[in-house]
Amino acid sequence: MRRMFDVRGLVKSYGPVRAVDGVSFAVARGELFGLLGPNGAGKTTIMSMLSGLLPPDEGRILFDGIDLASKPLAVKAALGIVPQDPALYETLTARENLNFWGGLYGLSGSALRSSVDRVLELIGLADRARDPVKTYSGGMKRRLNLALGLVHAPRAVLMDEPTVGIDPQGRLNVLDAVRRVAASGTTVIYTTHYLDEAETLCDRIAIMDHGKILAEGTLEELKRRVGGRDVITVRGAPDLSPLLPRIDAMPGVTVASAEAGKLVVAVDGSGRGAVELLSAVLSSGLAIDGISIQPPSLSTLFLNLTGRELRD
Amino acid sequence: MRRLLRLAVNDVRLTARDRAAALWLLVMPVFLIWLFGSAFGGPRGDRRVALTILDRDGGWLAAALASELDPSAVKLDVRRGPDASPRPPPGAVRWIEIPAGFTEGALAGTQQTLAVEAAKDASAEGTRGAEVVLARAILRTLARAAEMKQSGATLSAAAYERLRARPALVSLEVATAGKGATVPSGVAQSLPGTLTFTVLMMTTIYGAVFLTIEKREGMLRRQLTLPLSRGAIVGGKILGRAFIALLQIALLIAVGKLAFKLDFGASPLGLATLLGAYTFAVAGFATLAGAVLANPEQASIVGWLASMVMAALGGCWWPSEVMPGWLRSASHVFPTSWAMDGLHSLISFGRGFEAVVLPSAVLVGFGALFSLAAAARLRA
Amino acid sequence: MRLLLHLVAKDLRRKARAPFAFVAALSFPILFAGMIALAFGGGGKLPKVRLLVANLDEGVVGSAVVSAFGSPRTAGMFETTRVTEAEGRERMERGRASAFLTIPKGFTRDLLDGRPVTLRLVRNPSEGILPEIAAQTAGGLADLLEGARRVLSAPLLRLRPYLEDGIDSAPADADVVAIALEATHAIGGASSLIFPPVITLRSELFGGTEPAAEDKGGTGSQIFLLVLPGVAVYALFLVAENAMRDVLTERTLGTLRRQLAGPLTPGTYIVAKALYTCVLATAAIAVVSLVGWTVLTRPVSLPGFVLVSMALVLAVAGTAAAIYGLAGSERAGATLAGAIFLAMGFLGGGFFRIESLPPGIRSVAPFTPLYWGTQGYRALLEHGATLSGVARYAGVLIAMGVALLGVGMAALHRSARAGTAA
Repeated sequence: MRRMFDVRGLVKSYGPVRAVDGVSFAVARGELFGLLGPNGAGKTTIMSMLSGLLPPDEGRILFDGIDLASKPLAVKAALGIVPQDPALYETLTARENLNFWGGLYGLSGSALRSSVDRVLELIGLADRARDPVKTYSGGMKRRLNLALGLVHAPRAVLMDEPTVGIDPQGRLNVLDAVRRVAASGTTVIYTTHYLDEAETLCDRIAIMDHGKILAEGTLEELKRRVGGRDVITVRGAPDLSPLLPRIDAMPGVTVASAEAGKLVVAVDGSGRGAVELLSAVLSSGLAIDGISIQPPSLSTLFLNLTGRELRD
Repeated sequence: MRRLLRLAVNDVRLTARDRAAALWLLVMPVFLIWLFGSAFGGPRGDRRVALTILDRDGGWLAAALASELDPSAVKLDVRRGPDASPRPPPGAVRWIEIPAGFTEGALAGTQQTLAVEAAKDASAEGTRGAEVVLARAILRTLARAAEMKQSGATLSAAAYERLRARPALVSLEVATAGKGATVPSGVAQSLPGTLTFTVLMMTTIYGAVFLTIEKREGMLRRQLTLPLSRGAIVGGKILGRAFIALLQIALLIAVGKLAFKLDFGASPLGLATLLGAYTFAVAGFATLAGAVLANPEQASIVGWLASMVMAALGGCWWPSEVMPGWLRSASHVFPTSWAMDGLHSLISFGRGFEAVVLPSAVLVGFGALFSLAAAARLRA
Repeated sequence: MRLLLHLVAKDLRRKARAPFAFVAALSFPILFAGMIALAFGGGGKLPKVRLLVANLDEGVVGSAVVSAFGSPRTAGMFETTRVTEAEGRERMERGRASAFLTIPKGFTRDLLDGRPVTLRLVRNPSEGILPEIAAQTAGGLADLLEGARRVLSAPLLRLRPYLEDGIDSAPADADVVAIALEATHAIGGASSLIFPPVITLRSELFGGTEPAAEDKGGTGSQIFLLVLPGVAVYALFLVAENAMRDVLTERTLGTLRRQLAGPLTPGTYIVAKALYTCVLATAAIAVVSLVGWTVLTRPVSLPGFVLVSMALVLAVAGTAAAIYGLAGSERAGATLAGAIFLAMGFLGGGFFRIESLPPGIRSVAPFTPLYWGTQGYRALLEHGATLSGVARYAGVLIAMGVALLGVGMAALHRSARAGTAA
């Protein structure tokens, strides 16, 4: 596999807080690689380091074999950035914004013009290209934000939660554009906390929390890690601990987390484990408010790995 | 009313939390009072013009001329002998050179011409003032010398001093209207204008900037969804700004009284009424500016410009008497002119409450006009 | 170089789309100087002193005093109104005049009899300059009357009966001859001193000299040009501040981070911003100079003007860079800049000519770049200085600009790098 990104042992701390704690991963050429995790997992910090904005405390980043630390400008010239907050010049038009950023990356003349036309078509803003950005809707601004990272036809693009805060239609438009970018052979690292985006977009996904990568692989590989296990959540009396000894004795049933009033249990998908668990819960005499069952997914994997839901 | 007060209190709280507020609302006005006061004669209001006499003659007529210079109008420094040699004289702002042979020549009827010379950075007004004082001194010297000569007396320093020691036949008694105090100078002269200017500038800039920030950041939109009329929201904003302006005024008056021992007239009620009306006008203007302008940058610059123009033409920076009559009249489209008129009535003339009724009413009118306009223009 | 120009072009384009702050900053000097020209530009003269006169005297001296304020020499300075004493007092209490002169009853009689007499002048306390003119003029008249009374006491005594009103008969011929002889004798003894005055004052004020041709009048346009340099330099600081603030604005917008994620070093970015500031300041100078040029009455050294202007551009850019480099945020920088510029404007001779400030305050002025810029332009406009004449002003401005730019850009560089943190 020809690696576009080779990240080894990245560490970054902010005071006593270790925002990125020994992260390593590799991204192949042309791959759409997802970094999935809740807010505060360390995704944006990693993106800042990959784009050369933040030096890591430890670790190394190779971009297409080039060490980012020793040749940052060479790497930056080949990278495109789509930041989380659209960084646009609102008094300029879309075309003027694109001309500026394209020019910054060395494009000029007809090459610049054709690149700008190309990305405007890609994001569907060609008919509004001469309007000031301040007249755009949020979704349009997000699309332009995407285009600014692509105008110079980079070898790789870092997209940091590019669909946050826009309407469903706008989101679909952005995702569609991302797919087309990836289909063209551009390597993409895509961060998100939306499961459906990771599941539908990414070739490979790394699940992050608290600065570490908890699991990495294709969607199928990750689902297999869940082991086809259902996740059963029991909500009820403040103290559900009397159930724990009985659950521990059940084969194929594992307690993922136990806290006041809530028990999360992973159960083998055969069905027997679920029946046994439910029986034990109902016969325990404890006050039970509700029981939910989730089939295997990234969400259940995250729950499995962290004991928390992705939205927590 | 309670909700209106809440709006006002919130604005006051936000201003108090702004670290720059202390600098702009308190420190800068005091600095400007000191600066303007120094320009008008220093803390004790010494308006005398500095003048150096280089007496290269040493004769009695030269000394007599120097003695005739009015000490209440000039700060005199007489240099004789070797000290009179260097030209220009070190440390002198303006000087008169009395040449060698002055006394002998003048008494022999030879024309002696004097001139006031000044350093490049000397104020032209001061030099003109020195010329007037010198002209009168020449007049008196010549008159006494002529009297001596006409009477056949020996022309000498002693004879001259005897004439000078006589009581004046014709004197001029100068008083001031109103309470008859001495002509204000220094900080006493500058404080009314500086107070008017700084309250206007700080209230306008802060008020307009804060409101445009609220527009930009969505807080105003939220306030407009409240079960409150636009007028009530505007009222709350104005109340908040007026309260801060009143605090500022109270501080400046305290500084004036305690640090500079100023007299603010005999009518505290008149002063409070006038300044209360003025703060209403200024707070209304600030709120209108914030309602009309698009962003904090515009608010800041427009606030500056408007304050400067209103202050200058309203008589805060220089006495309005020096402006042409038509401009003095025209400047009464600004609230600053009315505030200055009222302050002069109270402080300079020592008049009572009745003197500020008209200016206060006009200022309230300004405030009402600005408030209505702000309510009409306020948009999220 | 191409990258620098690309960045500058982008910022200029942004400024062209939102020119309000630039236009407002430039309108300030034109507005302010125009205002001063309006207020003070009436041929360089102050308005007439509104003088009320109550002549309670029945003699010729009282009338002569009143006439003195309407003489050809003083008529241009005074607008005299005859009033009763009560009227005069009332009007003064309402501030309706600059001064009120009362010539007491029996003034002529007492003066001729050698008894002390007193003219009374009441000043308007809300005015400073005009009442002072009235006081000095009245004081000068008092001096003149005293001197005349002393020198001409003998002929005046003989003339006494005819100088009081109510005497219908003219003097007899013999009396006229006797009076004339006594007057001749009185004056003759002192004529070498007073006819003409043996001591004179060379002064424009008293007609002893003529003002230089180009300084005549003090018309509005000349006042405009006197005031314009100081306020124009002040406005330049505002323009530069607005430009340099953009580093922190872009940090807030996120566009700084985006630019530094591209093939652009923080140093290049900061240099581009400084260059943008210089271009904007140069454009501001061009606009204000164009306005000033339309009212110019004498030629100005173009090389000198260019030298001072370029040095000033460097100094204002440096000042703005230092302020925003050292400030932690856009808001703090704006506050600091506002306070510093306002203080400089007053202390450095921006709003008031440096000569009108007290010596203690004047000593602070040379520490401000505003002072050197203003004085440089004044040297060109008022004293006709050439390139060599303004070299020292330019030299100081360049030194200040380089030092401040160095400090400011280093600090902004740190700020730009800090702004790229997630």
